Amino acid sequence: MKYENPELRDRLAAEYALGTLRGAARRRFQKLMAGDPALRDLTLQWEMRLNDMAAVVKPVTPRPQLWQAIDRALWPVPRPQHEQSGMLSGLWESLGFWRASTLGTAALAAALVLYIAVGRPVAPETRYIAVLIDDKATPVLVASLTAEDGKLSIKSVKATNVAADKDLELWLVPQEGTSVRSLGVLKGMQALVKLTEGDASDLSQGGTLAVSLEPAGGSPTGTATGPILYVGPVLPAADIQEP
Amino acid sequence: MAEASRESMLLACAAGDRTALNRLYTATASHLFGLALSIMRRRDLAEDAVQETFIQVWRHAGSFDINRGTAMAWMARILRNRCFDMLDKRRRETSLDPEVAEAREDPSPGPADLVAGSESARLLHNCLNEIEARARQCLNLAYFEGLTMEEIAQRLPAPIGTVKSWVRRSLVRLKGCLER
Repeated sequence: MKYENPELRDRLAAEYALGTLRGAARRRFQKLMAGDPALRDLTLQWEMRLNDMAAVVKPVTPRPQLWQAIDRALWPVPRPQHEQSGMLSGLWESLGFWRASTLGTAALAAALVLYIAVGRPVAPETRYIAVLIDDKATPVLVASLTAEDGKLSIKSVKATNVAADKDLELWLVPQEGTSVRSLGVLKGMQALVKLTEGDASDLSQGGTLAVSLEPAGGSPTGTATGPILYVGPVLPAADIQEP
Repeated sequence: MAEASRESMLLACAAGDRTALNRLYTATASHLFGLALSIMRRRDLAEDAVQETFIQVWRHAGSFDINRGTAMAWMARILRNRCFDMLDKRRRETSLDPEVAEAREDPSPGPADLVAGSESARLLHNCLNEIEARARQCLNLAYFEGLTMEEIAQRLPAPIGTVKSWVRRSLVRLKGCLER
């Protein structure tokens, strides 16, 4: 059999690794490898050698949604990656339930697009935006982050009825579900939240905003204790503004 | 980011540490996406390829052998194989994303770009530099853009027989240089 010729084997392995062996030739070579461990090993050697070329590739930053897609594909139900305090896990679990329910992330995003489409203006300097919706997919709050001041602006678009002894508290849930943190108690129809750099970065990298119902003055424990009322994924405003 | 830490992230993935995959993604996604974009020429397809790659990386992290090469090479291998599977299934796109066109303006990266490189990547780079310029260009077009021999011949342009012999001879030289 001609495939026993060492020079030919080496040449084909190298070309397979380089990527010039394609289509039917590539499939044929894969079949050969399947029955020939030595050829497979030779090819792997070439592949590990040549793929060091990737070290000089020009990096291009993918959209933040790419990690979310990978995360969702691998672990369909989001859950905390480290065991955290019971309350924090509680918030995350109920958020996971929210997401897994009929109001999936796609529905949340669709609600946002719909909200923009009905003519609510998005200021041109807005970089990230989230529309927080209730369990009937009605937009309740809009949060936007502008480039300049690093402050998160929250506006209420629907009246919220909160008992006198309760308050609404805003939470930032980073993509991985670790270090969920409070962004403060919401009072009135508008709020402006000063963000740390870490907050802004977690927000922009696939973060989610959530609002829970807490005792007056906010959660006494520093983690959500009440039910999650509103949720919204943070999306790049550019994605929304494009026609 | 030190190269050693990518290897350790990959080993942590093999041990089932989900946060390690996220760290590995942060450390490598832009390089892998750049490579996928230059081969697939379309953002959506490049994203699909990178997504598939990280799923494979997570599932097969245990088969990574640190004695046989770098984490980056191991991941690039998965990515390019995925890209070729996709390309073989569909007709090659000819229209270029503006971002892809920009990335292609400088097809042969210089030593300054080797910031993220390991010792083996530097060695490979030095060996590539010993290869005659036109033959090296063929290798770059094949590796970074996933072009076949025929496509390289059209791009240069040069006769197909010449391209084949350039590629084959330079692969032999490359092997000799790497084993010195």
